[in-house]
Amino acid sequence: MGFKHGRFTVIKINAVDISAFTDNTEETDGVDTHDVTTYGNARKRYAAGLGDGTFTISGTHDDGATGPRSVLKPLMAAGAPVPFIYRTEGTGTGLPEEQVDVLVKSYKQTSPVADMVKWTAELQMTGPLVEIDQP
Amino acid sequence: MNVVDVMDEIGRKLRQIDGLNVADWDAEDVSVPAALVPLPDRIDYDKTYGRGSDGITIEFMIVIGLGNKRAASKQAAEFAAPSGPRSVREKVGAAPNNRYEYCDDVQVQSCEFDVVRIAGTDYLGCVFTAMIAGNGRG
Repeated sequence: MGFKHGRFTVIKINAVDISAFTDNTEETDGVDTHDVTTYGNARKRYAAGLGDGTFTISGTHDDGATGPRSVLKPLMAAGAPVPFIYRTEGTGTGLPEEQVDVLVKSYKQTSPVADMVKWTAELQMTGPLVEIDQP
Repeated sequence: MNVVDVMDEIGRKLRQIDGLNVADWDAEDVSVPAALVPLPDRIDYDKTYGRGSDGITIEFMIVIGLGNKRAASKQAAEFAAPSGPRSVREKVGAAPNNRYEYCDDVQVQSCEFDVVRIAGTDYLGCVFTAMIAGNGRG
């Protein structure tokens, strides 16, 4: 057991590895909650509903054919779900992997005068979220 | 990125400046005006996942003889100019028409002036700071 550093993270979208252009990945995974409080309770009661989640990925812009803009903007334009793979501890047998289809919901670019061009994309999970250990 | 390859490439771009000698980085005797490109101040590893990119901060300098201070200042101003035939920023800074082979981007961020001593002799030094970005895989 030990703490894990983020620099080994691998992310692939539509089977394209964009890890080399990414410096942060934020996953938010949750469930809806439904109020089922009835008389006689001093505190509210809830039931779990549907699950939902998003990823926010960001990094430094690269102008290559597999760069983030070249990969993500066409996917956003197409509007169809694509497979997304997130390996928080990197690639290796027994290491965790999450698999889910996503829609590319937004793509943002910033061009600061004193820094590299940066990008951020929001991905909406759609359908089952599968969590496995890599074979 | 290989640090020495990047240093050498910066040296080759400085050699394009008319009348500027590029000395070896550890030279003890220079023929002024001379450029010295030392090892970088700092390498920042892992700017992106999977060894995608690293960053390098480097200070290199142009040294000018101090025999005539006014003439030395005028020369320094030519090297420090943002553009022009002897502009270090223009010759070294990456641009669409000035690409690098051994890194992706070089930005000459600043120039400071100081008196530097080499082998017991004082020179007027123009110290340039550049930020370099490139592939982290070699």
